[in-house]
Amino acid sequence: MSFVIVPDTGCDLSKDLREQLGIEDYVRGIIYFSEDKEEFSSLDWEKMTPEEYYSSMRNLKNPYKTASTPMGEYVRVWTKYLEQGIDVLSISISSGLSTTFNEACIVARDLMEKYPGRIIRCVDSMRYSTSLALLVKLACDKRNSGATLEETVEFIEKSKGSIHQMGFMDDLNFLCKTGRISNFKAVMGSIVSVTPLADFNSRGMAEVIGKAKGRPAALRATIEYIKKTIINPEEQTIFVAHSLRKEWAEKLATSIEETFHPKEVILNDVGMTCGANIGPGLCCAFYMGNPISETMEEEKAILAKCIEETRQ
Amino acid sequence: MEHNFIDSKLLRKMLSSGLDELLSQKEYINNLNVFPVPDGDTGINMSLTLKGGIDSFMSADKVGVCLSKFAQGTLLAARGNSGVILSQFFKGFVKDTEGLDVFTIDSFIDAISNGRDKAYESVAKPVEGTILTLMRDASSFLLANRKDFVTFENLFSKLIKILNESLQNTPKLLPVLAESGVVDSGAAGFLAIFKGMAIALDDRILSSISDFDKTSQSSEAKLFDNLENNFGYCTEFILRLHNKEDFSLKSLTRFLESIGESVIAIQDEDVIKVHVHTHTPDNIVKHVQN
Repeated sequence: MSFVIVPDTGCDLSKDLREQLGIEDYVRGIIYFSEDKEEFSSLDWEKMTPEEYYSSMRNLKNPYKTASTPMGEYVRVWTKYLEQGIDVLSISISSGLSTTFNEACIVARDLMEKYPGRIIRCVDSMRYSTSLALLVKLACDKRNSGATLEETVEFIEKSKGSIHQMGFMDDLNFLCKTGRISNFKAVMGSIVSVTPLADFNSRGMAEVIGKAKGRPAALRATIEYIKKTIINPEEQTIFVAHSLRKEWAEKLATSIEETFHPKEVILNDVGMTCGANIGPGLCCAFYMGNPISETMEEEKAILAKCIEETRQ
Repeated sequence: MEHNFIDSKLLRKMLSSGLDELLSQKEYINNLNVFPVPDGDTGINMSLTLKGGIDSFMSADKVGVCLSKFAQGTLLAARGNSGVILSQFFKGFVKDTEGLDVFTIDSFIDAISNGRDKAYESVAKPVEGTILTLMRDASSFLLANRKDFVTFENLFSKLIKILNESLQNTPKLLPVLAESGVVDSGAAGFLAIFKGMAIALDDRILSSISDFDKTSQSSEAKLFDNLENNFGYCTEFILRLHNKEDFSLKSLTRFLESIGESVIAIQDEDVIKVHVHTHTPDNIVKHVQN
C-alpha cells in the first residue's frame, strides 16, 4: 500500500464500513458532554447508543458542543504511516463548517519537513456526515482500482461537487444554536408542518432549497428530486442517514431501492460530532448526481417542480 | 524594577500572565469569532494552545531550552485556526533561540520577526485583518525602532499601543468583520497574550497607555449596542391555529412584548399574522408550537 486514506471524525463511517474500506484510523474531534469536560469524539458509540444520544439532546439546556481537533491528534494518526514509509491522503470535513482543513494543511506542511520524501495531501471534502462517508468510500474504491495518490486526489476534487443530499430535517434549531446557521431562515423552517428540504451549496453547506408540507410529502418530493438529479443509479451505493428518524429512514431506503435499483443502499446513523451540530430529526439520502450549480437556481427549480408534482 | 533582559523564570511568568489575560477575555474573544467560520471558539482554542506550551515549559536555566519544549507543547495542543497559527508563530519564535541563556531586546525582536515569518509561511492563503496582521505590524514596528528600546518595559509599552491600533484596524482590512461590527477574534487573542506579558513585567504599563481599555472594549460594546438598539432579528410569520377557541391573541401579544418590540399580531379567523423584533426568534417559534 503506497498511501492510506485518513478521514476525520466528520465522516460518520461505522466500524464495519471502515473495515470494509480498509480505513484503520481516523482523526478524532473533540466533544463536550458537559461544559468543563472535553473528550475525543468517536465514530463507534461506545459511550451511548445513537438513540440515547439524540434523545438526551431534547432535555439539554445547552447543546453538546464540539471543538477543533488538537494538532497532536493529526500527528498521532499520520506519523505511524509516515514512519512506515506510507503517504497520506487526508480528507477533511467541509471548510464551510469547520477550519479543520486549514489546520490539517498546516500540520501536513510541518510533518513533511520532518519526514522528507513522504507526501501528505489534504483535501477539503466540502461535505460532512454521510455525504463525506460517500466521498471517502468513492475515494477508497478509486484507490483500490489501482489509482495513484495524485489520481485519487484529482478524482475527489472532480467528484465532490456532484455529491447530493436530499431529504428533510424536522428542526433546524440545533444548527442555529451551535452557530452553523446564523440566518433566521433556519428558524423559520421550524414552523409547524413545514418540512425543509436541503441539498449542498457551493460553499460546502447544506442549504434549504424547498419546503414540503409534512414528512410524507417531503419523502415523495425527495424521490422525485433524486430521479431528476442522479446519474447511473444502478451502479451506485446510495446512503440514507438519519438522526433519531429510523422508521422514516427505512421508508426512504425502501423507496430508493424500489425506484432506482442501486447496487446497494446503506442505512447510516449521523455520528456524534456532526450530530451535535445537526441534532435529531434528519433523514436524508446521499448519492452521486449532476454537478450542483453555483447559485443552486437549477436545483431550486427542480425541487419546486417535484414538490408541485407530488402534492396530494 | 526595569528589565533589559528576560531569563527563563521571568519568561515563564510572562507567558503564564499572557494565558491569564487570554482566559479572562475568553468569552469576549469567542463572541468576536466570525471568520473564517463563526463557531465561537477562538478564545478557548487559543487558551488551550498556549496552555499546552506553558505546561511543557520546563524551568531549566536557559531560555533556549525552555522555549524548545514550550513550542513543542503549543504545537501538539494547537487547535482551531487561530490556535494553529499561534503555534506556528511560536515555532518560528523559537527558531534561533537554541543557545540563548536569556532574551536580550535584540534577540527578542528577532524572535518576533521569525514568528511572523513562520506564521505567514504556514498559511496557504494569508488573509489580512486577522491575527497575521498583528504579527506583521508587531514585527515591522519592532524592527524599524529597535535602536529606541532600552528596557523591555519601554518596548512593551510601545508595542501594546501598536498592537491595539492594528486590532482596531482589522475591520478595515476584512469586510466580514466590518459587516458584523467586530474586530478579529484571533487578533484580539494575540493582543491579550501580549497585554498579559506586559502586566507580568510591570502592571503599570497598561495604565500608562491612555484610552487603551476604552478602545479595546469598543468593539464588544458596538456588537452589543447593535443588538440592544435594534432588538435582534426582524421576525415575521403566519400561524394557522388547530383550535381557534383555545387561542388568546392578548396572551400571545403579551408574550411577544415580553421578549421583543415593534410587535404586530393580527388575527383573521384561524390565521394569525405576527411581526416582532427579537433576539430570540427560536423561543417564539417554540412558544407558538406549544
